[in-house]
Amino acid sequence: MRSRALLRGVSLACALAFHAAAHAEEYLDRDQLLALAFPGGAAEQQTLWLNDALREKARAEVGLAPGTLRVRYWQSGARTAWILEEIGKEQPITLGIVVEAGHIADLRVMAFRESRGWEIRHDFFTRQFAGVGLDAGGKLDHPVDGITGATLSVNATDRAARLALWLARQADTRAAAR
Amino acid sequence: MQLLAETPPRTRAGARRAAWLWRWHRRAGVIASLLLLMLAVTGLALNHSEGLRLDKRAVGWDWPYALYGTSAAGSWKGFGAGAAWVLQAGEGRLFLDTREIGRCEGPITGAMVLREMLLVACERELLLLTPAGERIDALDATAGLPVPVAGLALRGDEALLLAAGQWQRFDADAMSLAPAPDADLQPLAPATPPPELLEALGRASGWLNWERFLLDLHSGRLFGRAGVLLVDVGGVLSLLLALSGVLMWASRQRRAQKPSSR
Repeated sequence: MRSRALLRGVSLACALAFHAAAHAEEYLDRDQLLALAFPGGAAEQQTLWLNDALREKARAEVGLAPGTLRVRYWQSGARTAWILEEIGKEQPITLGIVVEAGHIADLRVMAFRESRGWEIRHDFFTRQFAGVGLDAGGKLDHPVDGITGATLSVNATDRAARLALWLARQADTRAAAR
Repeated sequence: MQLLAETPPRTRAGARRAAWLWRWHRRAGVIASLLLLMLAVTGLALNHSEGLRLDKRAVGWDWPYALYGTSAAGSWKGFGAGAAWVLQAGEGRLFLDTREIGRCEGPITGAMVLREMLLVACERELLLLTPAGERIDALDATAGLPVPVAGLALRGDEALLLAAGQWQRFDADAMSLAPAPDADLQPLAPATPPPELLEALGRASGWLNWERFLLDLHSGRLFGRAGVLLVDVGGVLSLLLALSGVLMWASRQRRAQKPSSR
């Protein structure tokens, strides 16, 4: 009986491991993120172009720059929502990040394509980012606890959070200049 | 030697069996040794593939490409976009002529020049690129792209894509799509790039890297079905070697434990 239970356990573990390795998981699409970020539904799509000077500024201030020359975001009042991709180990992780007044209001994992590290999608991890801003050195101003076995995904989330905060600051600066 | 001296003599049948076992143990050992050597070397290298960066290094010799039956060019799917070619190798890697420009989710289904930009469609992602291949923007299923994207078409100066079985008008400024039920178009068809470009791509892309080559050598697949059978034979021989070795050792132990008849 014991060996049969063990066999079942091993089979289940193998099946779960195979499932995790074989499938890209999408947890949230753009419309769902925007519905969560802007319950009133009045957000407008905006575009931020990143020329060479701005990209260089991003690298100097937060240590990384977006992978595209143009970043789209959604805005309603002082609140902005960003959909960013960061590579975990080999595949991009899609994150939805809502920023308000220089601090993260919400962070969600929208799609996860790696075989390991998917635990970052859970609330116990993502809610640590609520209220976090950037310090003077371009790092997050509150420590975020990692997850054993998901270090690369945790690091990717940290980078995306810093980038979203930096991008939101650029969007605010641009709006103020208008 | 002391043990051998005290070992009791075998019966005639036992001696014949032991001699036969020794003979075949030696033969199997000689035959399997070359194969085991190859398996050990390739296995060791593959075990440290990441440290040795085997997946990042392209095979530089010509003959392994011939074994894959593709020449150095490999198998490519591509679309002509203006004067350039947008091509995709395995694993989603995209190339603008011979230069790698990033990745795209799913097989490439179309590429075209749109308002001095490049629009590239893959099954699960749409990319807007500069003429130099730099990524301006991207749209995937998470961001609202209906999938799969089956192809692109140009109508006047307007780009349309066949996404989730329906033609959609593409707005490059907003990266948005709007249904175009009136469209009756044929998607752009993939084309075969010139042989000299394919040849150059084979080297530039490193599609045949050392990891893949050693993995296929290790499994025998490099030499087709015959290679796999050969490795199977090596496996069976190793099994026989282990079994005959244990049998011979057990037989000697048994005889050593019997009191000598002398």
